[in-house]
Amino acid sequence: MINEFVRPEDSISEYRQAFFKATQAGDVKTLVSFAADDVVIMSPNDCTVYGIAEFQAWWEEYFQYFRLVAFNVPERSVIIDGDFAIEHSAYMVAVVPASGESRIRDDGRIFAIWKRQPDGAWKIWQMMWNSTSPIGIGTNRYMSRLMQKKARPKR
Amino acid sequence: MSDQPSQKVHDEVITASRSGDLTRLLTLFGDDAVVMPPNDTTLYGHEEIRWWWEDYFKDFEISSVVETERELTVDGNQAFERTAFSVSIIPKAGGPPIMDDIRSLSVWKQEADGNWKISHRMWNSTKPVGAGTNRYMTRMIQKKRSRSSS
Repeated sequence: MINEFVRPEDSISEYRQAFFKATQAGDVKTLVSFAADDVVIMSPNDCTVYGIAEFQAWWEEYFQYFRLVAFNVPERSVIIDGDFAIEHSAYMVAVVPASGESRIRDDGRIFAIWKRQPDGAWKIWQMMWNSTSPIGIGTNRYMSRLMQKKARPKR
Repeated sequence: MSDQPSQKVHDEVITASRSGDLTRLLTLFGDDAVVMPPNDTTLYGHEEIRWWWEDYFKDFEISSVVETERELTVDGNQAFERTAFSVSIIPKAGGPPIMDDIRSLSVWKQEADGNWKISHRMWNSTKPVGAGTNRYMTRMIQKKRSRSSS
């Protein structure tokens, strides 16, 4: 389930919706198609991801451990200036660990800079997010991943 | 006026943060700036940013900031800045310094007078949960202690 406001005048909206639909579907190929070649992603409690190859690897690893089952956007702001769009939005997300543990809820924000490509399409150029929840609540999906990794049999 | 937010202005943000100079710090943010600190609510505008920093400086002193990366892209009257830095924070109530590795993503806007000001800023930690970001835990513990002692 993905719920968010759609503003007809906002040219980023359709790209963003397709991006998060792909996130929910675990569709890495589509996710990669929405990222600029020099994309930089800064997810919390993780190293910075530089470029499309690392971006793809990051999502592939993520979907080994998690499935996104709900994503709501209660607040969103977009400023388009030239070939850049500044977007910040709040999110409420539910993530299910692949190991079958109970789902993880989080509330946070995404801060994204989109860049218009020569063909007119918008792609994510820089993106960062963080949680508004206290430590140990939403952000424990990272703890969950660590525990899942620990529980896996060694090769 | 400079055609980009200079290293000097950028350094002033760090210097003002370290010295706890709230007045100087606020002059570097636009009136309607949006600031998104981790594990906290979004701050809209000068007043909320002031409150946040006042609260922060009650509990913490930033003793060291070492920048490890800065990437600036200027496009007309807007600039996109990505930085990484290692920070050392001292809890004012005592205890060992807290070390953290942080990244920030900021948008700067050039105002009508030519000055560059931050319009948006978010940051987060690269450290595992419970490591660098435990300054928030520290603050919670400090608040709890002060409540129980009063």
